[in-house]
Parts: sequence; structure tokens; C-alpha cells
Amino acid sequence: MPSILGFGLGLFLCSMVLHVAIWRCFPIRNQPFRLALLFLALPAAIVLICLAAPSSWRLIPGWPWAAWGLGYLLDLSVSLSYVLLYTGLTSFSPSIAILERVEASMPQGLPREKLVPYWFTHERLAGARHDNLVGSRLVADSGAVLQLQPRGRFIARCFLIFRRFLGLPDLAQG
Amino acid sequence: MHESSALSLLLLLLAAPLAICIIQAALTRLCRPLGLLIAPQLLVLGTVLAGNVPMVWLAWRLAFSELAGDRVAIACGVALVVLTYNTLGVCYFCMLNLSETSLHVHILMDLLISGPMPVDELAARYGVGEMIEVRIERMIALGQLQSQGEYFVVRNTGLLVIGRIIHLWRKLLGLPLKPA
Repeated sequence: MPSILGFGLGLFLCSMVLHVAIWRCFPIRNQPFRLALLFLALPAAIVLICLAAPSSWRLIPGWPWAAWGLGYLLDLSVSLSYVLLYTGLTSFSPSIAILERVEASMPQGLPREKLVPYWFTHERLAGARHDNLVGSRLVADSGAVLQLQPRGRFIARCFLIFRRFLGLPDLAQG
Repeated sequence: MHESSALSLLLLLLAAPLAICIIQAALTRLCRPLGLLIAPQLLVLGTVLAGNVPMVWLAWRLAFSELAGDRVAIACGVALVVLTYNTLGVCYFCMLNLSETSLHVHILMDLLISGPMPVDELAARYGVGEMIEVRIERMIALGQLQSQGEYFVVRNTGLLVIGRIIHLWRKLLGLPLKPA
């Protein structure tokens, strides 16, 4: 058990050290691809190499394949959590910005008209999303009318099925 | 560790997100007739946290009992199960939160339900005013903000602490610290 825990955490630590080093040393671009490579592909490759290696070469001999699976699942779950939370790290959260503004004016607080941060504009919100969706070909903008593309329709349907299964309204309040 | 024990643990952990999803669906349907309005995010957080107890119990029954009093092995096994289960819970929470709060997903689902939409209508429907209203209501529902007369005050500093951690992490990675 200690070796499985150590293996899983070690895989994640390797990815994290490389992530910090690459982000600090090289220009930040194509982040989703780099994150997928570091946190998903690299550990999977290490596990596959360990499994394929002759047993006499293995660092940890005598593990059943399910033990490798447990170690990799630990790394995968921690890595996926980090990758999913990374979006919140790079895009500035309006909720946090609102709370920071209110905290700065405590104990009195802030009236509603002063809650909005200066960068909370249409261009940064719906405008930026529109550009992203059209750019990633999830939505087509033909003649100033937005229409779902097959990939966008598939993603929307997956979320719709998920929300209906949970018993939530089709469209969240936002 | 025996292969059958490791396999049982692996299957138990892989089934956890599905179990969380089924329990959330049941609780959502149970809460509605009782008139309990709990934000879906809070319901999931509660479900994941409460799920630690049955997960550790099941892991004990399936695998740890065979470790025969080896305390280090048992402690590491519990740490492995708790860490994996809770991070899988975080992944599930992120998926749910995406369907609740992501503007990208909201626009995609709006287009699926309402059909093609003129760009002007998108700008009107997702105007800054409407979005700030919805966000403030959600922050009140999640216990982050509180209205006191005409003023708003901080009710729970949890998100502010997260904001400070994010700020430090951005510094470490060399990311911009303020929006352009």
C-alpha cells in the first residue's frame, strides 16, 4: 500500500514540477495541449513503460496489474481535478472580484451599483464566449445568426441528458 | 497486496462518481416535494463529504481487513482511498458546476433548446446587467454575500481564501495577476 500511494503521488509530483518549470521558463501558449500532455499522457506513458518492462528491470517488482491501476487512478484523479480547476486559475472569477471589492469596504459593505468590477464588460463576457465558440467550431455565425454545429450539438446534448438525469431544470439560471 | 483486493478497490473507486451522481439525482427529487431549495453545488459537496464514511468502510471490508494489523499499510491504504475518492468528487463537482455556471455551456444549451439565435439577441440575453443580477443571487444562495438594506456584505470568507491561494499560484506560474 505505501508503494502504491507513493507511486501515484510521485507521478503527479513529476507532472507538477514539469508544469511549473515549463510555465515559468517558456512563453505561455497552447495551454490545454501542454496540460493534457503533462498531466494525462506523460503518466500514462510511464505506467505503460513500467508494465511493458521485463520484471527484472522493474523498480517495483511483483505488483499485480490492478495495483498499477490503483496508482494510476490516484494520479489521474488528482491530475484531472487540477486540470479542471486550472480554468478557474487562468480566467478571473467575477465572484471572487465582487467579494474582494465588498471586503475592501467592510464593515459598511457596498451598494449594488458598485459591486461590478471594471473588467466585467460585454466584450469580456458574452462577446469573448461568442468568439471562442465560433473559433472552436462549436457554433456557426452565419448572417449574424448563431447556429449549433454538430460538435456543439453533441456537447449540449450530453449536458442536457446529465441535467435531466439529475432532475435539474434544462437550463441553469446562469 | 492480493490481486483480487486491489481489483476490488479499483472497481470501488471507479464506481464512486456514478454513485455520487445517482445519490444526487435521488436527493434532488426528494428535496423538491419537501420544499427544500438547496443549490446543486452544495448538495454535491455534502454528498461527497458524507460519502467518505461508506467508502472507507467498504474499502476496509474489501481490502484493508486482510492487511492484518499492519498500521502503516492500513494508513496508506486509507489515504489512497480518501484522496482518490475526494479528487474524483472534485472532478464530478467541476462537471456539475460547468453545467450550472459556465457561460460557454449555457450558450450551447440555450441554442439547443431555443434554436438558432441572432447575435443581437445573444448580446441582449447575456447582457452585463442580467448576468450580474444572476451572479449576485447565486452568491447569496451559496452564502457568500449577504444583503443588509441597500448594502452588500461578505458573509463567508471561504471564496476569498480560495482567491488568495489562486493569486499565489498565478504568481508561481508566472501568469498575469490582473485582467488586461
